[in-house]
Amino acid sequence: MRTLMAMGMMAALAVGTTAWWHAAGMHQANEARLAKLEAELAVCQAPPREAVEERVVELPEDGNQWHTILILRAGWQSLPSERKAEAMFHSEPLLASLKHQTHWHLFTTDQPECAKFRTLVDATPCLIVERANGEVVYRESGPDLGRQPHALTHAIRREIQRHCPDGRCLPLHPVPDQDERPAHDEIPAVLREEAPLAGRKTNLLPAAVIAGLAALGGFVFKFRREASGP
Amino acid sequence: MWQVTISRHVFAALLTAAVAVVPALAPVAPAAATVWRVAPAVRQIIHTLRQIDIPSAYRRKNWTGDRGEGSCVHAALVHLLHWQGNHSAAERWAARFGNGETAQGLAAKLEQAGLRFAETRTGDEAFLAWALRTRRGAAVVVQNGAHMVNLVGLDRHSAHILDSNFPERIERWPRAAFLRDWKQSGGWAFTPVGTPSPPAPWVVKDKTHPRRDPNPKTN
Repeated sequence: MRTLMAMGMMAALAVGTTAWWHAAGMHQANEARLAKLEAELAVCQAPPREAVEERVVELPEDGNQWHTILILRAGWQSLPSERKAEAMFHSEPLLASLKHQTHWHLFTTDQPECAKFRTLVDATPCLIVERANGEVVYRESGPDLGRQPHALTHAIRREIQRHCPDGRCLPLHPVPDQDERPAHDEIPAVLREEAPLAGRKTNLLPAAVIAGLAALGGFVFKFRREASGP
Repeated sequence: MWQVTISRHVFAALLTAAVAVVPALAPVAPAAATVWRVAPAVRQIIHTLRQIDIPSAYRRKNWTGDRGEGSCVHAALVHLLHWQGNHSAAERWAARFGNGETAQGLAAKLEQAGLRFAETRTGDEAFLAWALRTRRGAAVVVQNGAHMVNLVGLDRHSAHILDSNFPERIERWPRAAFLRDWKQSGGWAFTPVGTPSPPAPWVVKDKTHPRRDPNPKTN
């Protein structure tokens, strides 16, 4: 009987030990799995290297911006009239604004970029203002350029009004393009001319003429009816 | 009765005058039809507005760096810097850098040089569209990441490619094949954000308003 009890106890002990050992193993395996999962989770949560370095910036949508091109002779720094023309784009507020509101280019006649403007440049300094499609809106050249910056601004405005009456220019891309966005306000702000409402005069002459003729007609009609009456 | 009749006529006259004075009610004179004749040369200019025509004087042949590697990334950047008018930076870059380059390495160098740039590393086609819409052009990776070229035009059918290995010519690749190659190569593209070169000029000839300009050019 005692032997049977001892054997039972030993068996129970063995089973218990096995169970404990198994449980410990399971726990270890679970620990390892958990650690692996945590590691995997950490990798997923960490932003990828590329994403950390990626920065989203506002890309300038300036494809319809006008170009202001000043063409000077090579070595212009030593030529007073050319230097003066360049300087007015710093000193004259309206022209400085034009420079900042358009794509600004300073080319010298010996640069390859100048080749496509060669037929427009009969003298230097030469100022060209062109739309984004290359349509020349203003061109002036010669040593007098820059002598009267205010008059120059006025002349540019006048030409813009001729090319783009009431701010409406010709289509930028006559070639159909489904991705084309309508170009609103492509004229540089500094050169947009506000319509002076107060200064707009109404011509009353046609109205007065019409009124006079109508009144005269009325009198004539009345007199003829009176004359032919009984 | 006479007084009443005169008043009626005067009233009618005044009413007519008032109608004529109010601009919104005034009759609109029919506008003379404007006929535009676009010269073939102007048509050509407008048709190629979104193609980057880097002057041959500014095109660089791919050079070998001190590690014996090609410098296609730097050559592509130098092309774009010249096109965007930053000639001094282009010359400095060509003199200083060479060999192969990674996206991270180039970004670090550009930032160190204080050059503004934009890029995609994910094959974003909108980036290419923007780069060409604003006439800046782009450098794009191709050939499974082994080479970089300049994308100088992208229309519905073709991609226009300036390859620094053959800088004297512009190659045309089928659009779909180019985009597939670019994306398979990792989809990296970049461009400096400088001032794009102006388009070729053309002049509107107006018979009713002769220009003061004695020497206008019509292309």
